[in-house]
Amino acid sequence: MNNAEAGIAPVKNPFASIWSRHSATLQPVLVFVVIVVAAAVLSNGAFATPANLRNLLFQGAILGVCALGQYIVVITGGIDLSVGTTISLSSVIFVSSMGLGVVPAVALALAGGLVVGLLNGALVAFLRLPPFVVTLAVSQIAFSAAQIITDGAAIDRAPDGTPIPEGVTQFGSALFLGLPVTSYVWVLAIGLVVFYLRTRSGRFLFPVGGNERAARISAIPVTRVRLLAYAACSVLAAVGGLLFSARIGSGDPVAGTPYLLDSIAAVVIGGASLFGGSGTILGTILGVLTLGVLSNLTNLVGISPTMQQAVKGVVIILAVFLNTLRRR
Amino acid sequence: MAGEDRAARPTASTSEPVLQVSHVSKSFPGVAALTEVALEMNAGEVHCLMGENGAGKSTLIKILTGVYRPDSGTVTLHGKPMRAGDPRWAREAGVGAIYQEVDLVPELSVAENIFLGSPPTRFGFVRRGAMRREAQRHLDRVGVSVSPDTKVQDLDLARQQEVAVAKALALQASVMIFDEPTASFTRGEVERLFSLIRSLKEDGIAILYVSHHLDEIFEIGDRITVLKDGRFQQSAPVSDFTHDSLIQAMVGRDVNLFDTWVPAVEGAELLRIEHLQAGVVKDVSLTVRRGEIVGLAGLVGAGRSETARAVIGADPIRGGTISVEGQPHTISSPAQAAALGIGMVPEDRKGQGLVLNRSVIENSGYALLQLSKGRGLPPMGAIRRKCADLLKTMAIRPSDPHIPAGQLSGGNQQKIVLTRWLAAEADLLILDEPTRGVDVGAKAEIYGIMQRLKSEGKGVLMISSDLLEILSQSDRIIVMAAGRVRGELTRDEATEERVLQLALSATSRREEEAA
Ligand SMILES: Nc1ncnc2c1ncn2[C@@H]1O[C@H](COP(=O)(O)OP(=O)(O)OP(=O)(O)O)[C@@H](O)[C@H]1O
Ligand SMILES: [Mg+2]
Repeated sequence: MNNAEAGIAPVKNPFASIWSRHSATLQPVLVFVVIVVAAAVLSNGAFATPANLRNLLFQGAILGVCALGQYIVVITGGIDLSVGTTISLSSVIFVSSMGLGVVPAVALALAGGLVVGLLNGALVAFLRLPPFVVTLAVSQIAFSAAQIITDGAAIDRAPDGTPIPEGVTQFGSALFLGLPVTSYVWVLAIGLVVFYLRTRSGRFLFPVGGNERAARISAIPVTRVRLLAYAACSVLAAVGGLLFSARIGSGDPVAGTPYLLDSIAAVVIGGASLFGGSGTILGTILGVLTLGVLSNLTNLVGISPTMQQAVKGVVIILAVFLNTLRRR
Repeated sequence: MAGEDRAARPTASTSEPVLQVSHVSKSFPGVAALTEVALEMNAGEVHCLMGENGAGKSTLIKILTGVYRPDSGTVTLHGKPMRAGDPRWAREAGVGAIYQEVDLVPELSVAENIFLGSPPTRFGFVRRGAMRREAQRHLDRVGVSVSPDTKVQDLDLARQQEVAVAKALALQASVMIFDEPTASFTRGEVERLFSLIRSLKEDGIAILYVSHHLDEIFEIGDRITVLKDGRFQQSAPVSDFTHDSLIQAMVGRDVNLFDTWVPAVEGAELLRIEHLQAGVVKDVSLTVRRGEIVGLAGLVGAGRSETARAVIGADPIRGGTISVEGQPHTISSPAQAAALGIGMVPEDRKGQGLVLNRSVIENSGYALLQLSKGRGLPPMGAIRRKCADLLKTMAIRPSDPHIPAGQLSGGNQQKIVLTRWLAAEADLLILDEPTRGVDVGAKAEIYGIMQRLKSEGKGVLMISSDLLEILSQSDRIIVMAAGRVRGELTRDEATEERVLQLALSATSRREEEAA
């Protein structure tokens, strides 16, 4: 409570007034711009080349799709720690069921994600268990499932010997109008999530995360909203797994590991509150791009890979700090 | 009135004021909450701060306690300037406050809360025994019978409020501030608080008192300062005011609270509860018809709110039946209740009523959004328009519907929750303490809305601890005690005595059983 007013400026300053109304959107924009400018300046022109930007989108698309799911769950005041293993699971299901044909394999992989999501959602929504523990536990189960399917190794073909068709790997690396095809999948996913946020259930994500008890008494079907949120998150993670397999050309039972923390980081850098109830989708998209530029930048500037994580950590702390400052 | 207090008064009036506020202004983004406000507090005097919802009372109080830093102006305490925006300094300088929204830590014990931040220590270790004894002493002085070891979260609102009073006492403050302390009190608790305030007065403590209950002001106050729209309006001894002139000063027009009632129209039965059992509710049967307001009276803890929560499916039911428009229903969630046309405005608007970080307009549209079933995306434009219109007629201030609900004053928040169910056009409205913390003007508006709903053929079940409210607004009064219905009175039969008699009947019965 001390200095609670530090963040509130007098009304006369027009910038302060604009900031106080739109800070949720402005903050991630600001962070992103600062990082991009830093990248452009520090890399001596190597940053703003078409090839480099394209590369950024290749990497951003997978994380981008998964972070959308994490965003949905975080808005409800939850967290999904099974995003990483869901990516892996989807990727191994996809490759190992290639014998059935690409379309059934895609369907099976997405179904795998849906099962994980419904499990998370049911445990959180119906049994009211804490999301942190539930998704951690479900993540362990999904991890074992992925390991069992491939005997622990990465695979490039189904057990019956059917390889990943060339069309799939082309999809993962092809360009359309100069941009990676996978980044269009990201855009499509953004469109779907934007639509979802406009449905009844999507609009209710915010009150459910902001004050569950008030939401319930206001006639909001809290249980259903939660269940749907976790299901949507895991299906999006499964799409991420498909994109991964298409890009790398394999099904990997540990493929998703790095994406978990990055998905949370993207949402946080995007200005969402981990307590739920606030955050914009634009913020999360910018969070993904910020992370991408950041690792890109450390590559270009020649910061050793061992230091990359530390730089990322600093930016995350900075973003969280800005978040709390803004909410005072 | 003034003759009763001895030594403190004469010295108080001759010496300089204990606390002096001059030219204090404070704005929040887009709102000037206080403009050039002045206030003087004397030792041994109960100074009442009055004004409508959003007039700036709580903001001024938070400046006095150092929670907010004023944009300009000065506050002096015992002739010395206060350090602005430093709550710890204010506490140590002897400013104690009981806030409008209880600010105890629910997970901690009563004793730990009373000594939060400054427990008695020896060699850096908390002296638990001493802490409990001291806490007990302060609790005794307040006259509340809770153990210092109870967790605060296990206490009801009224008890928490009393613990907050004990906490302020522990500061040995020379200035004590009460921001709507009686909002969740019954008459007995108010009496207890008043005798405590009288004894604080005799000790020469300066008291600032905020309440929307005008009767309390005339009973306990010495001086009144009225704020209007964040500006100083008037300050004078209580004896210079009448009931009507005080309302005139606050609202700027005459308000008649008790002429709103219109005769009930006979309508079909909306709700029938039979032998309901849930939580502390042991046996409740009642009906509400279209076109009537049923008042549910009783003491705090009688099970009135629990009855309401069980009806809308917010709490599980152990037994009994609920019928809506003649059809029996098992209602397992408020969403289901809403689909049957039943909505509830809960007593705890911050905890259960509002999503504080979301906008006013969003908060007012939740129920309608849920009910606007149909193909495709919900018709947000129509929902927003309807809510915006209703919010306008509710005269919510500030009028910008896009600011977060948490930034509105208490009374205005109450109106948002009410708007939510007006927008959803609920057939049956269950109102739990609908005018708690609401100013006179808004109270009259809420009464007007209730009576209008009635004439539109809707039903209202109104839970209230305010006897005058029950007696003036209800068509029928049901009195509960200890989880049971103790009796039913028609509007004509009902008197204060008869309602109280029924409300207290359970205690005597319990005593009989014990004997
Ligand atoms: N934290 C805040 N941020 C923005 N505006 C605020 C904040 N707190 C209060 N306000 C605004 O300041 C004005 C004064 O509010 P305040 O809470 O002081 O009123 P009040 O007189 O205590 O009313 P009530 O009788 O309803 O408790 C209101 O317009 C309110 O909306
Ligand atoms: Mg107030």
